[in-house]
Amino acid sequence: MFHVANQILHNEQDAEDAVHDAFLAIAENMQKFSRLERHKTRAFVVTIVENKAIDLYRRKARRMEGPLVEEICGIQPELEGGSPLAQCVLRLPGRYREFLRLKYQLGYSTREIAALMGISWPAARKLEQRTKDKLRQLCQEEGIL
Amino acid sequence: MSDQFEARLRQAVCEAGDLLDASLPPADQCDHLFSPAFEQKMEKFLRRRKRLSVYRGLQRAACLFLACLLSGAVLLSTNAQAREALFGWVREQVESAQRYFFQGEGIPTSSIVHYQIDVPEGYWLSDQMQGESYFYFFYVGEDGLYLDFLYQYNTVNSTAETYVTDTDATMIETEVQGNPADLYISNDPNASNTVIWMDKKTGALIEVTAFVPQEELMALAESVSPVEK
Repeated sequence: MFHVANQILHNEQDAEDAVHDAFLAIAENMQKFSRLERHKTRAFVVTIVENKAIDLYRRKARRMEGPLVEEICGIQPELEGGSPLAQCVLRLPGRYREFLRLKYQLGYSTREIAALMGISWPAARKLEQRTKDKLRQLCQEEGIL
Repeated sequence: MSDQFEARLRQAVCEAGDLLDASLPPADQCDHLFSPAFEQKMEKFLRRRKRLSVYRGLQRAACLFLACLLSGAVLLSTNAQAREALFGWVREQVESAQRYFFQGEGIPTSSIVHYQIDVPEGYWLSDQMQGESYFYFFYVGEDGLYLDFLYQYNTVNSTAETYVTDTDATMIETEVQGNPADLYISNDPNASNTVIWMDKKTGALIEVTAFVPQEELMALAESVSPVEK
């Protein structure tokens, strides 16, 4: 968890804060977490801590009034393999990718994703639409669609 | 998206997720030594989990109030521009959308005021959804067109945000019930229009979206009123 947060925040103290926030989020959504199959719990934890790290980054960037990278990428390793569509998913900004993982890999509804991300259901619906729009754009650029 | 594409997307997301997770170092190579401050925070977290939720809420609210007081004092003394945005909802451009989020101290959930709207004749309530701090009502008219009515708060326990995503709209600054409002009129006459404003008396961010012209949309907004307790 710390490794993921530090890759985004590049600050050990902030990364620890993000890990702590992730634990809070998991504890508050324990019912959703406990019903996951065992092999999916790692994906869940990685997604939640990435989400909290991005939230912390955005909060700090607003207070500093510096340039705000609104759609920061999250963890972005150089990865090979997977289908062209999977590569487009990997290129999505972190927040969009988190939404897709929570929905399609972990099986949560949009309403449940809203609770996990700490946003309202209408905001989650709009995030879903924006995610799909961005993915469609990437797919068209790659000639997949 | 078609069912076939949804199936492909599901598989692709799983592939991408597995690749991401596999790229992370194994646990035995993660040798970060957490600070004493973190260890203390986690011990407090674990102790709190065993206590009553009411006590936990009070602790969190007190810490948040103190943190906001301290950070607000620093911001106010050092940044005049931040002062304008500090006590209300802020709008910012995010790619092609307008994002509204709250900057400042959240209100206690006990202060939440509920609202109602006078929908046009022929509309009925088709769905509704509410959380601790947001309340969403979805109406459908006889012609199949919808009307969205949403109000939400930033509270001490939850943050709120909303987006207006119509990329082909003209934004007009106006007023609703004496409050500054943003009116989005679509350049497509067949698309929906949206008006969004904050009620300064309660802190609620209120949003109405409907397939009606500007004048009717503003009349709908003006019809929004607090529900008598």
